[in-house]
Amino acid sequence: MSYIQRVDGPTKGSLSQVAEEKGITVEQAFANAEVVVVIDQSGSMCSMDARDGQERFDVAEEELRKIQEAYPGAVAVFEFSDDIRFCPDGVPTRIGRMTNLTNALRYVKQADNLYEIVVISDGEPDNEYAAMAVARTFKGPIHTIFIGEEGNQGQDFLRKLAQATGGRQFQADKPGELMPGVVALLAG
Amino acid sequence: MSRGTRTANLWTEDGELVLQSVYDVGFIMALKLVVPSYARQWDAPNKVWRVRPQYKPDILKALKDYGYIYHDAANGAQATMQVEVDVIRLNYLGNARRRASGEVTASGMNERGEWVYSFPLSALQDWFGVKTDPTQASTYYEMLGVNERATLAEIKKGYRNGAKLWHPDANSDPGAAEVFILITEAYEVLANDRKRARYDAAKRMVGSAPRTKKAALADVVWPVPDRYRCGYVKVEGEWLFGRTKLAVSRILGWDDIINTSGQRLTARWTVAGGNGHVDYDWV
Repeated sequence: MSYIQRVDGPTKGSLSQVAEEKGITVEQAFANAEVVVVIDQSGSMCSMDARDGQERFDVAEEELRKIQEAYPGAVAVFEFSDDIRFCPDGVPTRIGRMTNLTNALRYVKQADNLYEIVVISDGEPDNEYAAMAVARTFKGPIHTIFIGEEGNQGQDFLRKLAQATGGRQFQADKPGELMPGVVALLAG
Repeated sequence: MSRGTRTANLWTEDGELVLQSVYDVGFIMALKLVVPSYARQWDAPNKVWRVRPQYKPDILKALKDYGYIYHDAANGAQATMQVEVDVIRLNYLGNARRRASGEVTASGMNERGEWVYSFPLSALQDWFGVKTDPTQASTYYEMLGVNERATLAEIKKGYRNGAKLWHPDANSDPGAAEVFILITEAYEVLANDRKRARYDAAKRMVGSAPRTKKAALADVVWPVPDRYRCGYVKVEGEWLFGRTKLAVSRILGWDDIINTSGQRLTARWTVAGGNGHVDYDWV
C-alpha cells in the first residue's frame, strides 16, 4: 500500500489539510470521515467526453475538490487501477492501465461496515466475476457511481455490484454529476 | 579569526573530573550544552568545573572544537556509581523540560531553596505509571501508553493514569490542559468499540501516509501535577559533588508534607516582575 502526495499541495477539505489544520494525524482525520471513495483511474478515464470536452479524469478531480470543500474531512479518497493507493491530499494523481477492482475491493474491505464505501468507475473491471465474489463478502453496502454514457455495459455491472451488497447506485452521465451522488450519501 | 593557544587542564579527583581553563564564554556555553546541569558544578573557590566522569569524551570534543590544547592529567580511575536510597524533603518540583543537552529532566528544590535534585523523565514516567509523552505520540494507543491489543480495562487504566497527571484540576500548568484534551480524545475513541474499529481501519488503510503531527508543547514535556510539587520523597539516586546534588534514578515513595494541624503543604511557581519564586500554602 502506498500513498500519493500532490505537488500542488492538499485539496481544501482533504484529510491531510484537515489534519494539518487541526494538528492531528491523517489517521485521526480519516477516523472522522464518513465516506471512503474508491475512484477508477484506468486508461478509459482519459476519454474526452466530459464537460466541455474535458477528460473524465479532470472533471472527476474537479468534482472531488468541490465535495471536499463543501464537506471538509468527510471523504477519504483512494485511487485504483493496477493497484490501489491512498490519496491523503484528496484527489487522484495518475492514470494506470488496468481496472483491478478485485484488488481494490479486497483492500477497502477493511472499511466494510465502518464507512460508507463508494466506488466511482467508468469502465468494466478486468475480472467481473472475481470483483463480484469479493463484493459479496462485504457485510455493509458498496455504493456505486457510474461515470460514462448511458447504456454502457459498465453501468450494468456497477448496478449489479451495488444491488449485491445492498448499496445504492447513482448515475453520473457525466463526471460533473458526481457530486450529487456523494452528497446524497453524506446526507444519509 | 585566530584563537591563539590556550591550555586547559583536566584531571580526576575523588571520582569527579576537574576542569580548569581560562575564561572563555564560547567554551563555557559549549560545556553547558554537552553536560547537563546536574552533572556539573562550578567550584568557585578553586575556579574549576567539577563534572561527572562519563562526560569526559564530550568535554574533550568541546575543548578541541574551541581550539584548546588540553593537558590530561587524569589518573585513569573511573568513578563507580554509588546508588543510595534516601528520603528527601522536596519543596518544589519544576516541570520536566528538554535541556540543551537533549536530556529531559525536572529540577527539584530543597527546603533551603536550593535546586539540588534532578529527576529524569524516566523516573517520573515510572512513578506516575504513564510511559509516554502524549504530545510526542503518533497514535491514540501511544497517547494512553497501551498497546494496540489493549483491553478496555487497560485503556481505562492508561487514561486514568494520564488524567491523574494532566487533568486541569490536578495540574494548573497551561500545557497540561492541552495534554488532557489529547488523552481524552484518545480515550473517547478507543473506549468505544465502533470508533476504535473505525480508527484501526483508518490506521491500517493509511499505511505509511505522511503525518501532520501536533507540535510538541514548547519545551515543557512533562508538566508536574500540583499535587506532586512538594513532599517527602523516597528516592534512589546518586549524590554528587560532595553530596550537594542528587541525581535521582528512581522514585520509591511520595508522602505529603503535613503540619500539626493536619494541613498539607502546596507549592506554586509565581512569576512577578520577571522573576519567579515559589509560593507556599497550607491547605
